[in-house]
Amino acid sequence: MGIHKTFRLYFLSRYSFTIKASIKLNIWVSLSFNAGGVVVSESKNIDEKKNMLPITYKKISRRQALGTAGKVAIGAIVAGVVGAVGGYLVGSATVPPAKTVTETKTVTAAAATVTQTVTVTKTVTASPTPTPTITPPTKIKLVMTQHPVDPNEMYAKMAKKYSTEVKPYVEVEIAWGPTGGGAVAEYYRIQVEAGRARSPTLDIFNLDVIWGAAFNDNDWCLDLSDRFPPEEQAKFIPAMIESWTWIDKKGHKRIGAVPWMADIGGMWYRKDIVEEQEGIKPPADGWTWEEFFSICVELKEKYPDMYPLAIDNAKSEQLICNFQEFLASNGGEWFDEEWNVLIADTPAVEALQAMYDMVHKYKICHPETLTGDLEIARKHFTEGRAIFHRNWCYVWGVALGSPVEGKIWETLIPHFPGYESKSCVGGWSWAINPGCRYIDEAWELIKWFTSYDIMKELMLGGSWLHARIDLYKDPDIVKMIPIAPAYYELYKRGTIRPKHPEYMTISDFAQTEMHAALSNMKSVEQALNDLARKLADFLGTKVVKR
Amino acid sequence: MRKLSLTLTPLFFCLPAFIITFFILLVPLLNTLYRSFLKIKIGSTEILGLVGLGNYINIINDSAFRVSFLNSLILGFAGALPAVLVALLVASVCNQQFRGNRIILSLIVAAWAIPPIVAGRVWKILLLPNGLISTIGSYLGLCERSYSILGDPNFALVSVIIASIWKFSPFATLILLGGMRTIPPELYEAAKIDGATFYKTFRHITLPLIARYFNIAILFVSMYIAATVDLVYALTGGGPGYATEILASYTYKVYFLQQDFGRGSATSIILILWALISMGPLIYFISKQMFGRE
Repeated sequence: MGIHKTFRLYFLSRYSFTIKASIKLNIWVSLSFNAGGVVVSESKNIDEKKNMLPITYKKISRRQALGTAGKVAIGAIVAGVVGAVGGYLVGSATVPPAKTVTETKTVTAAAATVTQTVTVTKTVTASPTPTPTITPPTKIKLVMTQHPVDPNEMYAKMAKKYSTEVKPYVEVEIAWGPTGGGAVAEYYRIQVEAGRARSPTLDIFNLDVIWGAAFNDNDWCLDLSDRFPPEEQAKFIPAMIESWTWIDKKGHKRIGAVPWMADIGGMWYRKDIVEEQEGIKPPADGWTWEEFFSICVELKEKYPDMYPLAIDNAKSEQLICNFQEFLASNGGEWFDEEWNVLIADTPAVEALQAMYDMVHKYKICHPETLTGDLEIARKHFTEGRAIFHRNWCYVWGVALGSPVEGKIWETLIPHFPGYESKSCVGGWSWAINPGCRYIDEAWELIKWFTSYDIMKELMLGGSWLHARIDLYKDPDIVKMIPIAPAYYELYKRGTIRPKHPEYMTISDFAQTEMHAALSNMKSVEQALNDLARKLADFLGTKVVKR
Repeated sequence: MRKLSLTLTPLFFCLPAFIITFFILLVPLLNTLYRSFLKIKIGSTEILGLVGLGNYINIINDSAFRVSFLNSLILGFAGALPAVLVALLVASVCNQQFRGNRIILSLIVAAWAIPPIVAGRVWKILLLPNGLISTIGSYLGLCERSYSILGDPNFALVSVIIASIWKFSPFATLILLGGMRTIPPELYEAAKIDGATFYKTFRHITLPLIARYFNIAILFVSMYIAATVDLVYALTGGGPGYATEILASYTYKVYFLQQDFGRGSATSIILILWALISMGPLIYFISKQMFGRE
């Protein structure tokens, strides 16, 4: 007898029960989807048995049916138990057991310079955030999230540099963010769940400035105040530090992240037209809104083929950024210290009214201002069809190679009389997952990536604009990005959107009502009153006017 | 005993399908229903407590929800029926034997193949100020070139209706064309011999024989239009204001933009109930038509 025949007989004899049960189960499942309906509809007519499928025509005894069902049920239970036990074993392997750690620390007595060696024994219990001592050459892996787009692959290169040159025992793995529609919301959810569950799958988060309150308030990121002192914080863009600073439920001031990528709004303009041809020089502290609107109306007459202002006022987060600049430059606020709603107050009404007048009274905006998106507005500007343009810093890079290369500059966002120009701050920051197993190493990595030299190297390599404010006065940076000093002036005047754990909902309410006002669905006062009422109901506070 | 066996046997064979359907459909549905009575922390799955009907009351009090409900009703009637009528016209043309009818059918069905989000974006570009539609409108003296229906709260929903008809009528075309192809050609030959005109042939032969397919097409197109979040978002974003929000896009907004899973679950349940009430009678009528009498 050949080997294959022997094996076949052995296999069939040993596993005949399983094979037969599997065959019967397959038939059963496929029939239930394909023929079950036919059987149900046809079984009413006993005389038409010959139209049924043979297997359903053949009667099965109760014993056979129960026997097959029992075998399937037992198989399912066994599979479930195996799966559960296996899952438990895998899960428990990720949590280190309780252990006793003996550490030696040197204590210097205050009165003398005698050095004593004290042995401290402490029991470290298994906690959601154990920090085992790393003794090289034990290799560890840190996973950090990053944007899906990496200009010039600079972050990929620097992560490799860290792993090969700086700390060879640390492998840095970058988890690139999701793309596509709804990507930002998905990005938020992934990191929220990792932080909430203290999951060790992601060590370092990459978080938007508008998520600061949510992550801090819910303790979804580690408090870095002992590692990131105020003197270091002062070297970063102030508004970004403010967005990550929070007073927790115990009244303790904490900072949840270190800013790395900076972005800020500014008023781009055609220097060749405004300054050179018209002789209008932007003042050092910026125009007032009235002055700005007058200039736009005047330029509209002189340059009928161009839009005076390309600004995106479509229903989106950008609308809130625009409104924040109008509001902050009028001394207004969304909420008071107790989260009572101020959005129906005079400064906010004046701010939204100015936005409305910009569109409908002065008619200085491009036609798609309420229906298009940011890129449509940007294209009007970089393709030479607009004179002024409110946008973020990326316009400079995009304008290279465009018809307006070398002809544009950026100035301050206008303001209301008696107040200062304000620019809405964007940007991203690194935070540490409370579930991170190697917190010290994660902090060292963040510290390295946010150091002056590394940020400078990243920027000179063509990566994003980074968040250390002194970079924008660095001669090498200014040589590469001549507009860097203009960014510096904007960063000094940064303003942040409402710092509330439920900002996403607040923003959605605000977008709907403000866009309704700008689209003439309701008056400005009505829209802000409705918004204020909605916010007060949602937050459980009240509407106040100062 | 024999009768019992003949009743139980088919049910037994349907059991795997029931089990899988239970886990895929009913378990998530029951979970959503459960969550609709809870207060859930924004942006998280942490349950804060039971609020009973609080989420439902909160949603009904939201003017954006009421507008989205009304828009869904309008879109259901003004979108589905015209889409199927357009499909009927196209199917009638493609059912004729002439050179190139398959190419025409392929081009029309290509609209169905385009993802809704791309379709929404394409229509947005067409409908923007100075876009193709407003340019044609200005030449015809209907509007100014800088006019955009997308920014007009009174007519923005019309843009959603037009885009939905364009996107979903090809599917209805395929259903109706399939139905037309099942009509025996002898009937048309007999009608021709009797001197029937095209109109009479269409009215007395084609329409009655494709009636059931017509109902199926309306049902499917209504379902697709009711669930078209991506088309609405790509085209108008629910704006201006909330003028073009529909129930599905409102649900998406509460779930994914506001990240409120409690209120989002309540909105989902309302959406399901609305779908059952609006499409249930049609489904019943169709099933009675198909299985009741032959």
